[in-house]
Amino acid sequence: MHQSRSETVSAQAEADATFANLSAVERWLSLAAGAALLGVAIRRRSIPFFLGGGALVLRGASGFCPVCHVLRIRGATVEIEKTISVFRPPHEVYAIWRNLENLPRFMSHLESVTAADDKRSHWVARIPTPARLEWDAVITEDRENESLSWQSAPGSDIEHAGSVYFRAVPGRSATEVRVALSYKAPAGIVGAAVAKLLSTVTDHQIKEDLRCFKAIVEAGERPTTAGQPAGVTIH
Amino acid sequence: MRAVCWNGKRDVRVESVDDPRLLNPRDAIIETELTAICGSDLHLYNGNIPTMQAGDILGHEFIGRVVEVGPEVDGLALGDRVAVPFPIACGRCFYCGRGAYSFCDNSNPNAWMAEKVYGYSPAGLFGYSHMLGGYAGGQAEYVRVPYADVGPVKLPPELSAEQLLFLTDVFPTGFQAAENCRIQPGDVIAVWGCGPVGQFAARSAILLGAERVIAIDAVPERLAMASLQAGVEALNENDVGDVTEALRDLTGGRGPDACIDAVGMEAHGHGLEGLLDTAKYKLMLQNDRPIALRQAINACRKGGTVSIPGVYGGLIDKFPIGAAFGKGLTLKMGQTHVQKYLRPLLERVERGEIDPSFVITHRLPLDDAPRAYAMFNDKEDGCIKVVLKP
Ligand SMILES: NC(=O)c1ccc[n+]([C@@H]2O[C@H](COP(=O)([O-])OP(=O)(O)OC[C@H]3O[C@@H](n4cnc5c(N)ncnc54)[C@H](O)[C@@H]3O)[C@@H](O)[C@H]2O)c1
Ligand SMILES: [Zn+2]
Ligand SMILES: [Zn+2]
Repeated sequence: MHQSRSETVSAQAEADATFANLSAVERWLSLAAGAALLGVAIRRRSIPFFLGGGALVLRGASGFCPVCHVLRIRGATVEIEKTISVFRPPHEVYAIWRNLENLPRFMSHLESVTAADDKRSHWVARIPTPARLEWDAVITEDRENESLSWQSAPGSDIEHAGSVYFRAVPGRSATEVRVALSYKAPAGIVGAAVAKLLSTVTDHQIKEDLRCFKAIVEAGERPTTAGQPAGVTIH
Repeated sequence: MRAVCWNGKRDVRVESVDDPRLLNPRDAIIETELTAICGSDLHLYNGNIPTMQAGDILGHEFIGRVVEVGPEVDGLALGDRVAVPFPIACGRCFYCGRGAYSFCDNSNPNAWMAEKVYGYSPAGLFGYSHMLGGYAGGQAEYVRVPYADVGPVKLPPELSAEQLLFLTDVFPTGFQAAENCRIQPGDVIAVWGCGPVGQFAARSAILLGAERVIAIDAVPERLAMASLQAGVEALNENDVGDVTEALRDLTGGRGPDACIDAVGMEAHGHGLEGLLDTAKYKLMLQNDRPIALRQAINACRKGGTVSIPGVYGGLIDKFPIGAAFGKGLTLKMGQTHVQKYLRPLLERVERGEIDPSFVITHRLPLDDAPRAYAMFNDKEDGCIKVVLKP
C-alpha cells in the first residue's frame, strides 16, 4: 500500500503552504481587528482610529505589511535570546546541551558539530552550497546543570558565541532553558557565506528550533506532516 | 486510497490520494473500519476556520485496525482494533501529564500559527486546519496516527463499530461538558443544541446525577431524540418567545444550575440580535455568532457554571461579561481531553449504561461523503449523525 512521494518536494510544498498560512491567519485577524477599529472610528468620529482600522483592513485584504518589510533588513550582527520550558529535570536537559554534537538535531542553521575533545569542537553551518562556513569553538564556561558558554576561536570566518542557562522550575520536574546566541561578521565585513547564515538565524527560527528541542526531549521526536497524503489541488 | 478532501467552502470531494506512511518512530497506520462527520467538520465545511488548504483530508472520528507500527510504539500490535482520540497528544509533556491532552505542547508542528492567533498553541488535531497541525484526517481508508503508544485504545470484538465509534469524540465531548458542570444532587442542567454533542451532554449529565436536563433546539427531530432519554425535557425555542424566561419559569425562577453551550460558533439566531450577528459576521466584524452562548450566560443562575463544548474560533461581539461577572459564573471550555475519558467511557459502554449508536440517523459509503456533508449541514432528511463506511 505504500507508494512514497519525494520528500524534498513535499517539504518544499509544506514550506510554501506555511507561508501562505501565515498570511491567511494574519489576514483573518487583521480584517477582524481592523473592522472593529473602523467601527469605533465611525462611532467616535475619530480619525486616528479610522486610519488605523483602514490600514489593518488593507493589510488583511492585500496581505502586505509595511512594518514587516522594514524589519527584514538586517545588519552584520545577529543576537538572539529565547527561552523555553522543558518538562524534564535540569540535569537531563543540561546533559543534552553539554554534548554539543546534539545541537544540529534541533538547530536548523547547523549542519554538524564535531567534538575534538571535552572543550573544543568543530562547527559547520547549514547553508546552500557552494557556500561553506565552518569554525572551531571552545567551551568557555561550564557550570554543571546550570549553564554552558562557548565561543568561536579567534580569527574564525564568523564570530560566534553562545550561552545556555538552566533553571529548575520550582515545584515541578521541569527546566527553564534560556539560550543566547550571537553571530557577527568579522570586522563587519559580510561575505556571501556569512550573509547566508545571518539570514537564516532569525528570531522566529530560533524559537522554532527550541520548540523542536523541547519536542525531542519530551516526546522523543519532532512532530511533522511532511510526506503525508493530500488531495490533488488544481489551482 | 480514497479520502474525503476539503476543497473550499461547501466543497468536499472524495479523491484518490497516496496511502499514508510512517513518518515518525511513534506512528502507526490504521485501516479505517468506520468514520463519521462531526459538527466541528461543518465549521470547516462552511469556511469558518482559517488555514484550511484545498486537498486537506478531513475527519477526526474514526476507528479501525492497526496495519503498521513504528519502532517506538509499545503496546500495539498489527491487527489490533482501536479507537483513536481526535486530539493528537504526546503523552509526556506537562499538559499530557495532567490529563489535559488537548493542550499537548508537542503535537502541533504549526504551533507558531496558533500562537499568532491564540497566544499559545493547543494540541494538533486530525483533519482540522493547518493552524491546528495540518494532519491528514480520518475520513479515509487509512490514517497515520502519531504517538500511537498513547492515543489508540484497544476495543473489544463483541461490540459493534457503531457502538464504539463515538468514543473518539462526541461521547467524551458531551461527557466532559457535563463533568465541567460539577453536578450536585438536585441540579438542573440546560443544554443548548441537540446535535450529537448536545445529545451526549444531556445523557452524560443524567449519568452524572443531574435531577433534570432541559435540552434546547429548534429542530423537531433533534428535540424528539433528546426527549427519548430518561430525565431529559425538550424545549423548542420556536415555541417560547424568550428562552431565558422559559428557563426561569421551568426552574421555579432560579435559573439552571449549569448551562452547556453545545452549539458553538454557527448558532442560528432570531429577531434583531440574530440579524445583527449575521450581518457582523458577513462583514467580518466578528468571526463567530455567539447567540447560544449569550443566552447560556444570561440564563445561568448566580454562582453557576457555563460549560462550552461548542467550538469558537475567533472574536465575538457583545460578550455579556457584566452578567458573567455579576453572577460570579464559572466558565469552562475547550477541546475535549479524549485520551482521559476513552477508557472509562468504554467501560460504561461495556457495562451497558449507554449505547452511543443511538445518535446515528444515516449510514453511507465513504464515496457519498459530499452528499453526506450537505445533508448533515442542511439538516435534510432528519439527519443528526452520519457514519461513513470506507
Ligand atoms: N469541544 C470539543 O472537543 C468538541 C468536539 C466535538 C464537537 N464540538 C462542537 O460542538 C458543537 C456541536 O457539535 P454537533 O456535532 O452536535 O453539531 P450539530 O451542528 O449537529 O449541532 C448543533 C445544534 O445546535 C442547534 N442550534 C443552532 N443554533 C442554536 C441556538 N441558537 N439555540 C439552540 N440550539 C441551536 C442546531 O439546530 C443543531 O441541532 C459544534 O460547535 C462542534 O464543533 C466540540
Ligand atoms: Zn468532532
Ligand atoms: Zn503532550
